[in-house]
Amino acid sequence: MPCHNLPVKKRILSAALILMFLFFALTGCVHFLPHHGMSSQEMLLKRAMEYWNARSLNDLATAYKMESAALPGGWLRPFDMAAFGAGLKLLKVEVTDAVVEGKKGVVTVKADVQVLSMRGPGIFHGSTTKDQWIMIDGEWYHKTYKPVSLGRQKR
Amino acid sequence: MRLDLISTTILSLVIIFPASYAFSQPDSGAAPPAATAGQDQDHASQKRQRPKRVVMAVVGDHEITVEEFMRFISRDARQVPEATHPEGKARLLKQLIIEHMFILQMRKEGYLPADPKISVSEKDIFLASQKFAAVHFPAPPIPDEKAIYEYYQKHKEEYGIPEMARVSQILLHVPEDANTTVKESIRKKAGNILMRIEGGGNFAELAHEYTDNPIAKVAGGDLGYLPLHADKWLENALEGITVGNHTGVLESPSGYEILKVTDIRKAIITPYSNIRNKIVQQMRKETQEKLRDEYARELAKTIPVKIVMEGLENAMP
Repeated sequence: MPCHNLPVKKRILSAALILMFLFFALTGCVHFLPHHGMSSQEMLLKRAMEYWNARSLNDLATAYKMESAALPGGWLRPFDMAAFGAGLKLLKVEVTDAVVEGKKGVVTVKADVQVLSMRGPGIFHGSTTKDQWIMIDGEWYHKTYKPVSLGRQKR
Repeated sequence: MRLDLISTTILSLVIIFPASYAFSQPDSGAAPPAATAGQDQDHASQKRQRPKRVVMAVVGDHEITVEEFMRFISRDARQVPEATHPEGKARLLKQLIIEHMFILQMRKEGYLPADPKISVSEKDIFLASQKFAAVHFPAPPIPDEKAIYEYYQKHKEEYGIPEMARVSQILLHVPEDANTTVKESIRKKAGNILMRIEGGGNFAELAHEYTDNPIAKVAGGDLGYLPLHADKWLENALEGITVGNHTGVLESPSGYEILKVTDIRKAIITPYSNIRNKIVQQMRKETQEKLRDEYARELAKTIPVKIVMEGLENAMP
């Protein structure tokens, strides 16, 4: 049945339903339930756990792929990734909290940090810090910081 | 409270990872040994104690002490892992000896005041060193494009994330002073563990029970991902071992080991165009270092150098 044959009230209702559908499809659903029914916060928590687990295992290849600056056009080279963390090892890493604000996220990371020294490894217990993430193309990426010596940070 | 602040700062440095280029421990030499929970207080008091004056080497009249050596290492965090084994320590001490030889020579040639009692700042030394280097071991010209590319091909893994293997380990430590009988009994014990693994025993459980590596013990022997080609011993040990398989009993610098590969990550190499300038820098640096070492060897014939600490004889320029 052509649309112009519907009563005015029904037409308005149909239009409203279509608009609502479009709104949720384009904004709400993408933002809130992007992967297998997970909320953006759950998604961030999962990604952050994967990232920090990779970091604690020295799985640089996995962590590199989750760095925002490793995306096409970014400044982070595999060489830079391999060069970091000299003498540092993370033990007992936990991601305890995730807060999402639009396309930005902050997680709380708790870890024991092992520092190599000439007298053997020293361990700093229970260090906690806030770690930043950004949503790019529907996926969370660890916000990569650029050293001051290499210029201003882009991602 | 203060320690908590330090540890939080360290973790922040891990996160802002490129900053670890510049990361330096405030007093690497006084860093605490492997610790258990609650030992931080002891570490703090250890840090406050001034270390004994131990001389490692003598250059001219100058004595290089352990304290000075540790300060030298803490200038660059990347030197810390190197300083944890004797060969690395000797290489670093050699650098420090060469630095002092050059200071003596710079005084002699007038780049620095001849009288050592006149204090000079680090900036003065740096500026004088540049002039001194330009005369005695100048930076070489930029190599030709073909040579740069060949260098890249040869050192590809160094310009990216190398191929890595996730390794689990059962280590039976052999004390340095162990006699043949003790060594043999430890080897036999390792052999028995291997038999249990081959009989279907769970590697992680056996590692948890037997390994002498305290950090890997809690993780069922898991060492995480290790570069496959960075350590010759490891490379040889894991040759032909595929994911899910283990080695036999291997003799290592620490004792006897059984290793299992649980995962592999392929290398991710930086494309040539993104790393070319870095390679040029590296090639020029290596050539200049060769020239500098040759010059230092010649200089060592005129400046008396003595290695005092045992086991570091290779530090002689």
